[in-house]
Amino acid sequence: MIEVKSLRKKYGDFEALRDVNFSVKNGNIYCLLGSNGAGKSTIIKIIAGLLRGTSGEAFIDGIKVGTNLEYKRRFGYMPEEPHLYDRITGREFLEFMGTLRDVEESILGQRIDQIGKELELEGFLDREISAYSKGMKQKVLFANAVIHESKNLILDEPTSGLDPRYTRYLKYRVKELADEGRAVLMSTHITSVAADISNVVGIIHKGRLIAEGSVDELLIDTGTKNLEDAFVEVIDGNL
Amino acid sequence: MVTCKTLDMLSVEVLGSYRSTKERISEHPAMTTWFILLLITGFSTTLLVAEYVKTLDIPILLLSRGDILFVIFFFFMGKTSSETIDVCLKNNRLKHLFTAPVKISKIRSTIFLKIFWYNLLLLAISVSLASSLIHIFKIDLNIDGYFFIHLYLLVTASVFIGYNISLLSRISNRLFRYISLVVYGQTIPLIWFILGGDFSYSTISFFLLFLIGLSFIIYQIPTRLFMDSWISESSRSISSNIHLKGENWFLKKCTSKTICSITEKEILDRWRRKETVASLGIVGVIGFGLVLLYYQLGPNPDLGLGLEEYFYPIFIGMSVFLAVSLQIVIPSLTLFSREGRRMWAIKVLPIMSIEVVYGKLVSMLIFSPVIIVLISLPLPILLGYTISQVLFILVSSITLIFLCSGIGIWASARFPNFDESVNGAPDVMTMYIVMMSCLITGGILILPALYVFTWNVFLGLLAIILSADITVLITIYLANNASSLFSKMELDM
Repeated sequence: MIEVKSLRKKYGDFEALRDVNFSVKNGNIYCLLGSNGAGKSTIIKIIAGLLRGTSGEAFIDGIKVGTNLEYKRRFGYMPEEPHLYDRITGREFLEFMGTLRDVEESILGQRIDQIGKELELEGFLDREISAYSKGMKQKVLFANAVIHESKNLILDEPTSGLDPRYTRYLKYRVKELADEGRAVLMSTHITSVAADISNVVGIIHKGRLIAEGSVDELLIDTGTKNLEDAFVEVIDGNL
Repeated sequence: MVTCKTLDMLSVEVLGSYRSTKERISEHPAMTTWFILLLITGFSTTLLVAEYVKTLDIPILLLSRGDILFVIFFFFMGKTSSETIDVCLKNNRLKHLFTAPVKISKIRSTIFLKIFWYNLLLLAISVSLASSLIHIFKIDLNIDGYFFIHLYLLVTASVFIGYNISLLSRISNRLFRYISLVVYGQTIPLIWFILGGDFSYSTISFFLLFLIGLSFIIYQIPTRLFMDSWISESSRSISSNIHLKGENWFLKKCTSKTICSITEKEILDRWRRKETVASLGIVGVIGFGLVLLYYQLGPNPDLGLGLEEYFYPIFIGMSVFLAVSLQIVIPSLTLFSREGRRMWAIKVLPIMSIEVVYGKLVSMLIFSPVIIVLISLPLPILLGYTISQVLFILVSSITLIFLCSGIGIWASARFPNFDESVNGAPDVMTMYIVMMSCLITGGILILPALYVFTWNVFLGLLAIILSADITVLITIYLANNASSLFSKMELDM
């Protein structure tokens, strides 16, 4: 379970996040939907421990983010941009991250092979990451997020750089992971992705959570027929 | 409107560097002040020592005008070569320029001009500072106008040569690469020969002008080769028989699984970038130079000062410091900067910051025995030093290695340089401050023990062991501090 309470983030005079509250229950997929620069990645980075909020708190499985290492064992993270160590191979990267997440060596090897097969990375896992395309790097990042089978997933724009086939695979896989009881928090600005898989959508605008609910609830509230229209309606109503 | 695209691109590069430097200066005002103080002190000391040595009139200690110019040439050539690799060949961001409707030759000129002007700026600042200090302290060094003419010509040549060598060394066709390097590389011994020979100043000037002309022609190599070098470096996928396992028995036994994994990752990364081989090679060259010095001057060089017994120990100390600076201090300054945007990977892991710092520290220290084997030990053995003398040199070297690693990693966490255009390479200011700090602190820790050693061998040995203990404590303190700085680092990029 992921919880955010009264989260604020200020950069000098600029307020990037203003009093954000939401929670992601186990088995649910929560999509943070927002325009570019709305504050989605800032929220995700604070929960992942990469940024510190100016005030407010975030919790993963009830453990406060930033206080000890235990919360870091509870989630898998996929960043927005595929910045990876380019001189090591995909397999070495996954082994490195898995080992430091205390995944047993024998299990780790099996999981890497299995997910490599699922993502059609087998031929590339033993090549240096510098030779990967953006999409392949995204796949390695997704593999890294799920390889230790944590109870929570935090995905920052996971479909960016992926072709339609793998976008479909990723949506299917994320749903499957949520069905297994995981709490999934993901950010996106693609409304169709959010509409397809989310249980709850949170619309972020100028650092504020301005609407929240299931896709159906948002459509009823805005009187629109699809999430894209609902999103525009909500944003325009708040300009 | 007609515009010069090269100058347009150059102005963007210069503006970017100016803003980044300005930001660093305003972020660390104390560091800037300290840098200026150290720079003035360093220059004054060097000039005053040079004047003193000149008055002694001891042939062995006198560096000829040619030697000094060659050292400056070599420094600028190495600097340019490394800058070309970081700013040009390893710079993946250049793809944005390459895909723009701009001639490749203009992009090449932009990169070269950036490197060239910065080096000339550094030279101008150094010459101005040295001239001011010579004037203030009335230092007599017999420097004439030709020295400055040769200096500027040499630095211009060194920038061309360093740039060309870096580019030629990355050409994908091996045969062409080796032939061109061997042929063009002859310019370096040629410069040594001309500067050291009995030639008139105007002949040297003429030769240097000729060399600049020649290098300019090489610089104009077809853009196809320029692109070839960039592609082969920026998209190089090295096949290596060394793989990341995280299960090195020795490391695991001595440290922990986490530290072992991080150490291995760091080593592998540097190994595949060929940085390890390069730095080990440099250590080997320094060690070879020391032995060569011994065979040239013999065991008892005549200084006429009664200080003969200190001659070689001073050289060993200087060589160890040089090797430690190149193999440990400078690489350790990049440890956090190079993580840059990839730092999320370490940050989200359930591992303690101190383990990350120790992992990186061990990766720095793991090759340090090479310094001891190649630099600290051969000369004392050749000179037939006693066991206690060898032991003193050994412990002093270890002290310096630990101290420099600690200071280096702390500085890396305190002043990280996330400027992507330089690939995490430290800026001149940080590098100079850290190296001088290492030198001063090393002197404070080792020289008193050396004094005691000359007075009483046993007490001297105890004193240097005490210094080593203190150094380890300092290193642990600095590592803890670096760990705290690392845990506070935010990934806001």
